[in-house]
Amino acid sequence: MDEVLFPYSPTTLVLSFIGLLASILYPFMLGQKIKIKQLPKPLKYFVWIMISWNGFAVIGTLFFSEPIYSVPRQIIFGLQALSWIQIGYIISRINEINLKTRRHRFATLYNFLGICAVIATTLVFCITPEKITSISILDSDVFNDHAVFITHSILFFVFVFPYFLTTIYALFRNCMQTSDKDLIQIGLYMLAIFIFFVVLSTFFDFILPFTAYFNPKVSNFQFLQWFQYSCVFVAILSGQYFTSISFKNKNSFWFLNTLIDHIGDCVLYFEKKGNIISANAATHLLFQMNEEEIRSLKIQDFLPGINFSEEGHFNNLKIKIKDELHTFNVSIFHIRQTMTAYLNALVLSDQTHSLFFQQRVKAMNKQIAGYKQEFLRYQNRLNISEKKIKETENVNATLINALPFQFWSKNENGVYLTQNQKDIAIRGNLSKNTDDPKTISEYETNAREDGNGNTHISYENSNHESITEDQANLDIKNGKQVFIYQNHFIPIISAIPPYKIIGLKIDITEERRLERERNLLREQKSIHSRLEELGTICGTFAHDYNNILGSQIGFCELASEILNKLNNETDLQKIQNFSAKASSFVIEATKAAKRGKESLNTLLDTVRGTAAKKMESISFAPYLVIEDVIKKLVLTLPSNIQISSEHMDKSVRINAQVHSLDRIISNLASNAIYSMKETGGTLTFKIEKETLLQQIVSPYAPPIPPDTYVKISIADTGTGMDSGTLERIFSPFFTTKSPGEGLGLGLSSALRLLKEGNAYFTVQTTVGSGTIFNLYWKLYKEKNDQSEEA
Amino acid sequence: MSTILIIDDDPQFNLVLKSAMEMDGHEVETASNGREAKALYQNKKYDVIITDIIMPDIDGFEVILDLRRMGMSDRTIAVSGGGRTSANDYLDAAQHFDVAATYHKPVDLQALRATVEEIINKNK
Repeated sequence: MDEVLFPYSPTTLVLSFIGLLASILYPFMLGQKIKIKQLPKPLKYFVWIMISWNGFAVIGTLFFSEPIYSVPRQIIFGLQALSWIQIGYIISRINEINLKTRRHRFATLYNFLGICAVIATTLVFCITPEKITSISILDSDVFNDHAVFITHSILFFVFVFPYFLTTIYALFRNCMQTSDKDLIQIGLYMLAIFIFFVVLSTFFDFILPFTAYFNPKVSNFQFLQWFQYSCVFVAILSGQYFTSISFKNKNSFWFLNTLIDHIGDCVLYFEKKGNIISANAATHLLFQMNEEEIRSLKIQDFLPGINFSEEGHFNNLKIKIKDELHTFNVSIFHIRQTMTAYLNALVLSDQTHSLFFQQRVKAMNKQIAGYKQEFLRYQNRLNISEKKIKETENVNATLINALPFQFWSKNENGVYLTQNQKDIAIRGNLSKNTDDPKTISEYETNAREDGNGNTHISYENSNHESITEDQANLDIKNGKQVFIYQNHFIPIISAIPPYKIIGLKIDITEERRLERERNLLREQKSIHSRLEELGTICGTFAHDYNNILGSQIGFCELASEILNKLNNETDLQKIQNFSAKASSFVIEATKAAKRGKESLNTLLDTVRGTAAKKMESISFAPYLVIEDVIKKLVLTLPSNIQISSEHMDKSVRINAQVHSLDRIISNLASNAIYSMKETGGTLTFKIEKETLLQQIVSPYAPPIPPDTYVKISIADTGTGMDSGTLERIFSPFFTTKSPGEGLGLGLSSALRLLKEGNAYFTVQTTVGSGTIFNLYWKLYKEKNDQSEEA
Repeated sequence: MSTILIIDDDPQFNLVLKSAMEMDGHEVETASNGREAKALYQNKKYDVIITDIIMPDIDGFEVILDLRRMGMSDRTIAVSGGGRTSANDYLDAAQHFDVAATYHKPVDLQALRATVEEIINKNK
């Protein structure tokens, strides 16, 4: 019984002490490394066992190194045995954690049996050690010398070694089943190290003592010394292995799970039969269920007709969840976990919203494209409009500036908007200014307030000060400078007054001057032509008078010649003949003298204008007079001439001298008939009312001012007149007629009568096709007829 | 005895000249315009022709030109009292047409008679 249980060896002591220290410090080192406050339970357990094992080894070595039996030494050894008996169980537990395999209750029970066996053995050794030493097997007293060693070796191999074997198996299986290369490597290292320690310790603790040192008494052999130290290493390595695996696991699984929890698609894990194991946050949200409720469901419940035992992918599957139809893309995965275990996963990606949003996005994109196009179009149109407006403005501005008169426009409130260069040059830039209300003319106000466009003439003196028309006429007569302007005020009519107005100020000074000049020239020309007329009159008169004088002188000379012959004559017959002849010459001379007197009287009548005495004018319908004239004409009308008088307005009246009109019509009619006497033709009389808006200017007659007239036309289809004849038709004594047919005073007296009656005429003639005389008499308006006439 | 044609639209003037020429012992015929005169001088040869210039219908110029074509300019005398312009204008034109003599109205009867005698003697 005097076995050496705790050999006195400083090496052993130091090693045990180091083992104790390592066991105590290790949890801190590991905790520091993996940043957890608490080690997993089995690992903690392992640490405590190692502490007690090494602690009791130290105590034993220090106090019970003598190879003498004592009860305390046996108790210490027993306590130490309680530690190592559990070491296999603990290692297997740690392995279970690392490999995530299931915990076996049998292992715990077996461990409990081991503990009981150790306690029993220790009690036996303490109370009756002889009972054990006396046990002999096959007549050999093996227990006599090495009772403790053998007993505890049996306990070790019965209760600890099987755990080592199962652990080795578990590690090996894990290495074979894991697909992760890193895990395989770590597992293989672990397996190799574990086997190495087990084999090494078994060799030094059991095989070597049994073979070489089978005398434990003498050797300083300590029971399970190598296992004690190996286990420290195993504990440390286990911790490392745990941390490595937990890190590895944490990295991938944690990341995967976090990711799965954060994605919007639903991920469900389920068993082969369809029971749901777990689901991610998106699933909870979609089904509005917590984890427990979801776990009570089966895949079949909401995916009927889907074969979920095989991997697959289904597009646009319609699933009704809480009365809401969703469209999902469904994927089923089978993930091989171990050689035999599968993890089944179902991924549901909700297409409803994504489809909806896709459509929305598409629609929006379309709309945006549409808007963009629209925008471009509008911009384009805007650009074109702007360009057009600019062009128009440019044209307008150019036009306004090119106008040969002053142009301005004012808005409704009388503020100047635009002015052309001419206006600015004369009045200065008045843009955005208003005129003094006192200076604004009634014409302008009229245009602005009532929308009546109007025109008036204004006069300004050399200092551009406004003057009256009378003053202007006076100044013009006195040769002072006077500006004459035609002012237009044109309202731009819009909804309601006041209106914008445009003003035009046209300088008509020059125009007026030219008009005056023209009038002057016309007057001079008229005087000149009157003089010429007079010359013609005198010439004609002189021609006639020369003839008359010539006759007179001739007859007188002949008479005196005969009378001279008479004085020398003695023959009575001859004397009588001569005196008869002389007296006939004297009679002829007297005739000529009388003719001269007549001619002179006619001339004087023409020149003095006293051929017709003034008579009172009366109002009458001119057709009556014409009808009278026609009656007279018909008596002597050649057969080849017709008279037409169908178009005579019998309602119009004129105020004139009846005999004047009679004479004028008779004159013109007889001239017309004369012009047609050889060719024949039609003489047409017409009476109509005519309103002249502009004055008529014709080259051979005075201008006719605008008014309402009765127009009497006498048209023939005769020979017409050339321009030379036309110019002189109204000269007295001018005639194309042969002697006896006319004196040439008809037309000129007709003209004079027209003038006296305040009437006008025009003449249109074409050589070879006829002449039309149009006589314009002022329309006579009776007082009660005025409204009708107006 | 010589034959003289007098053409004038004034019958009195015709009568004066006719009387004067007859007193000188000539035979006288008269026409009141160119048309009448033409009918006469185309059928009969006159020793002297006295024509007015301004006449209605065919005027004196036509008569003068007609006579010149017939080679009788040297026995033609033009007479004019003037009209719208001075008588000189007409007579200058007549002289241009080679008439033998021109006279203003009122005519110097003695001078005219002398010219008539001269023309008659020249052509004898």
